[in-house]
Amino acid sequence: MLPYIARRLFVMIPTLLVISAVVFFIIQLPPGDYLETYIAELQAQGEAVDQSRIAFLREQYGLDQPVWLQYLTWLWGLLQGDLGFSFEYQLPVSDVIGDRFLLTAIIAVATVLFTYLVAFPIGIYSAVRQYSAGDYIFTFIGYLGLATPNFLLALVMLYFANVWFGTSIGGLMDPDLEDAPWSFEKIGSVLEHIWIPMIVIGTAGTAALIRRLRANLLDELHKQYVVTARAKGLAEGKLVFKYPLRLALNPFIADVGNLLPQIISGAVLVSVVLGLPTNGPLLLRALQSQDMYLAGAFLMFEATLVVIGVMLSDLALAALDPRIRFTGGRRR
Amino acid sequence: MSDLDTAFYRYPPRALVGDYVRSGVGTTFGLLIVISNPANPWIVGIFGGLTLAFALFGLRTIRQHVTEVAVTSDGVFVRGLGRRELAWHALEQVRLRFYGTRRQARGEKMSGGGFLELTLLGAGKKLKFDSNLLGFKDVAWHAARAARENQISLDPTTAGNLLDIGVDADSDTPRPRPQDALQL
Repeated sequence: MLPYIARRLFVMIPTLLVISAVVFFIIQLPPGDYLETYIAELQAQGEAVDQSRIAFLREQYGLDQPVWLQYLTWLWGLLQGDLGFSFEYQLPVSDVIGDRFLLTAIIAVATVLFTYLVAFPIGIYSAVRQYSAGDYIFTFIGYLGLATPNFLLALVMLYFANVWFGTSIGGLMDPDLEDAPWSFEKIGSVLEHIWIPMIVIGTAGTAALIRRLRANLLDELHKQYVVTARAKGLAEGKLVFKYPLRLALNPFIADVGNLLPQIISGAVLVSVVLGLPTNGPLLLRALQSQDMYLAGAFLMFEATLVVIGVMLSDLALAALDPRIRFTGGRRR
Repeated sequence: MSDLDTAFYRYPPRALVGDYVRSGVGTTFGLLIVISNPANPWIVGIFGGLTLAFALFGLRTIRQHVTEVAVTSDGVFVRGLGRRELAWHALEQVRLRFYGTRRQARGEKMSGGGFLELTLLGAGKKLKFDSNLLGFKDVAWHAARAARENQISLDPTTAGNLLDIGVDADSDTPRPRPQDALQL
């Protein structure tokens, strides 16, 4: 396994270097920089702009240097664990991200758990009991879940929670605990609030997972080895779980890499609608205000998680299913 | 070629160039980062681990470079950094695993980028061979024959992979010729 891991790790290095360059230069593409946006905002508010202070800030932030030099400085900082400085918050990026990163990760993990816990039993049931009443009902609900935008579901839930219960379900904890240090009370408050974003964000993913699992499992259940095993009298539960289900799960293992980036940027629109203190809205704001080191740190985190996720799914697949895969017949 | 012929195989240096480059670049890159920032435990942990993995990979590549494998009807003999041997009658377990890319797993890409690893266990010894080895198919053929003679049951993945490289573990197949290189 070591050669495989080393080869996959080696691919990560140039990949991440290229991504870092692309991320940095794309953030630079809009005309102007953070300070020009800042000046425009001041002028729009009718405030005077001190040009000498602007020149001082431009020099201090390194915005007067060529783009390639800014990129190399930023890249070298990243490799040293220095994510840079947020212009807008006047704080190191790592301080700005702080708790938000943890809260986003909690929501992402809860959503993934919800998705898998709901989707797997339903997907298996729908495949094993194809064309039954239950299959039709779950299929209908699945289509509804796929067709409903998450942010719309969030708005609907906000409205009905307000109308029926006279309460707001926005946020991820009680407002008076937002700036408090972590305690059992704060954890309890997060657990009280987390089910709403978990359901809202997880609905579409759950519906998609049900559809894919059902289709994959049906493909496997119609294969000859299943017919043979059934003819030989293998118990139905053992038959389904030991062979077809394992093979039907391969595409999901291959997609594990796509789950990790959600920890960074998952469900921006839902977070804005529900007022969640997660990374999504922060990234959106950073991109709007050209707070390039904050936005760049987010995007690099996301890219790194994608690359790590792809590698992990490759390793998991290699460990779980180390068969040769050829098409056009076997090679001799 | 008769079954009794002894065949000698090596890892072709050309096939190892890529691994040397990977281990060299990876080790240097990781080491540079660690040396430039030894005070940050996160950096030392992450990039130190990376450096160690690439260094071990480099050692393994050097070992393959100097390895010579002899296959006879009695057993398999490995000479390089040390000597190891395994008599076919002592063979207890055979594993043949494929390590490919995600695109291959999804069926989007069929060749290139993957490799096979043959593991032979017996008499408390463990020998591993990479499909870069010239004569890999011959070693696999001998292992399959020994498994049949020793009445070792092969796991479905190993049996399937052997079939895919042209070796039927359940019946006699002609011994591969040395020039029958394995193309993945």
